[in-house]
Amino acid sequence: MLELTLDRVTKKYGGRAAVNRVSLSLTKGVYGLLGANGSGKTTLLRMICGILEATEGRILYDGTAVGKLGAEYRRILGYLPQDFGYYPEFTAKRFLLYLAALKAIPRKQAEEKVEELLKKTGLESDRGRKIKTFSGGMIRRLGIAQALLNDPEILILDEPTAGLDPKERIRFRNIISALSRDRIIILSTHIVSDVEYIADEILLMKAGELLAAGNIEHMLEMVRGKVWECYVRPEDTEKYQAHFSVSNLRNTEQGARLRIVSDMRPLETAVPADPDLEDVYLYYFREEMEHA
Amino acid sequence: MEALWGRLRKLQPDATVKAQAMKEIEGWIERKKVRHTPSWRELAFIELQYISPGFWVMQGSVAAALVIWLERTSVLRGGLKDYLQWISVMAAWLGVIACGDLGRHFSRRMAELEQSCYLNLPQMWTIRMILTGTADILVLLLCGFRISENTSVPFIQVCLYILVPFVLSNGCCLLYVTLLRSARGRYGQLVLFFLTGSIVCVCVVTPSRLYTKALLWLWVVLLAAGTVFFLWQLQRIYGKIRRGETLCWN
Repeated sequence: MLELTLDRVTKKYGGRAAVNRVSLSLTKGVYGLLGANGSGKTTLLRMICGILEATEGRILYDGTAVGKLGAEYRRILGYLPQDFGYYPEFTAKRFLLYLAALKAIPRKQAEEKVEELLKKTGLESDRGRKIKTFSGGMIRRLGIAQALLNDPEILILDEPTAGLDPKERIRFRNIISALSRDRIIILSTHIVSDVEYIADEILLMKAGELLAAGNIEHMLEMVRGKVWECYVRPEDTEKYQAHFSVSNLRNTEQGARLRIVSDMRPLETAVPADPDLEDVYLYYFREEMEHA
Repeated sequence: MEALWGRLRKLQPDATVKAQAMKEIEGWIERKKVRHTPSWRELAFIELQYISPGFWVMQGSVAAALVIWLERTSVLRGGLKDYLQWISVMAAWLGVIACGDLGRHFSRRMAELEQSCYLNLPQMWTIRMILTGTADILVLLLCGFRISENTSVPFIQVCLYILVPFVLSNGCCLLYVTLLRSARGRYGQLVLFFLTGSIVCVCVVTPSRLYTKALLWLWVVLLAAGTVFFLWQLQRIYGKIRRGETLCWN
């Protein structure tokens, strides 16, 4: 049984709580952790990885505190930090072999795994190139490859698609989908489409707290009846944008078509629309977006 | 016979249940991973393999310079002070190079990732410090033995004079590593490392009674204080790493 339990996990810096009493139970599947910048996603992931000590609460892996498990917990962990560093003078292959060694993978097995992952991430022809010559997208792909080296039971990816082009994003999604059967994958992002297709559950974080959790259908249900579509005169769009949370604006022959997320019908002419995950995000984070 | 056969057939397991059980067993086998626990020798090999070439070049250069200086002073029949003048500085530099290389994990923004691995940052540092520290101390003790032979000053006394700058510079460099972690801080670290070596140089060159037998107790105190300072820095930095306080790591 693979289970990761977070029990009232809190991280405080001085008087400010970056993560506040987050409780969760994670089993096999892909979890999309959504939240605005500064919502505490990275802090929470660092605590799950055991690289940041929680001020309060417990994180348990199959009932045992991860701190107690120590190296045995780290052995089953794959992690891609948001700020992924590297040794620029290393080649891609040497870098992966280095991390494989740190993950206690025997050399022969590591060689095979490195080749497999270089191919999977489309870096096989760049294996001998120094990382300092890589583009941002290539470095990110290398980061994804290193996280998969030990075939982790718990895979934690913090903003994995930052800097990836659409084709690379699709490749990434396919890799994650193929892996999702036997492990816990937590994917933190503020790009909704990253998780829309692959996440089994969505976790919404705001100001250090877990705002909502559930599968996509459940999330969509929560905002059903709060998404509206209407046509307005193109010159009035700014006015509506100032008053409502507009998730989409499109100029058509009939006028400007607005998609609005609002608890109440924004206009007499507005008709309810089927919500999507972006609407859910906008519904919960509209204040942040207004302040941005 | 027919009845027995019928009974035996009844004993046959249900095909669906059997297939299900087999599938489950296969799944368990597939999931069961042979986990390798590296030995100390393997861990040491891993570290040796991935220490930057620049580190070996610098360590080697300082060690070579040490030997050359030793031989030159020996040929010129120099006194204790002539030997210690540069050996103390080089001992400090050996410490500076050894600890300075540890800062690379932070300046290259690798510390966070490395801390999440089976062999984490404090373990890596410990292995590396044991390896490089042992090599450095061995070189310094050999030098101490040679100086003692040439100057008739007791071996222990010479070792004290050499080990004090080595231990102190190690402690100071660990302090710089925690104070200046960022990539930009790396330059600050380099400046401080250089200053540490230079301060030792000035101290040694300045004429004083420090190297007399009467003040030997002071060297013992300095070595003890230096060791305590080094261990305190080590404990401090390991505590910070364990708690993840050095946020953001990178």
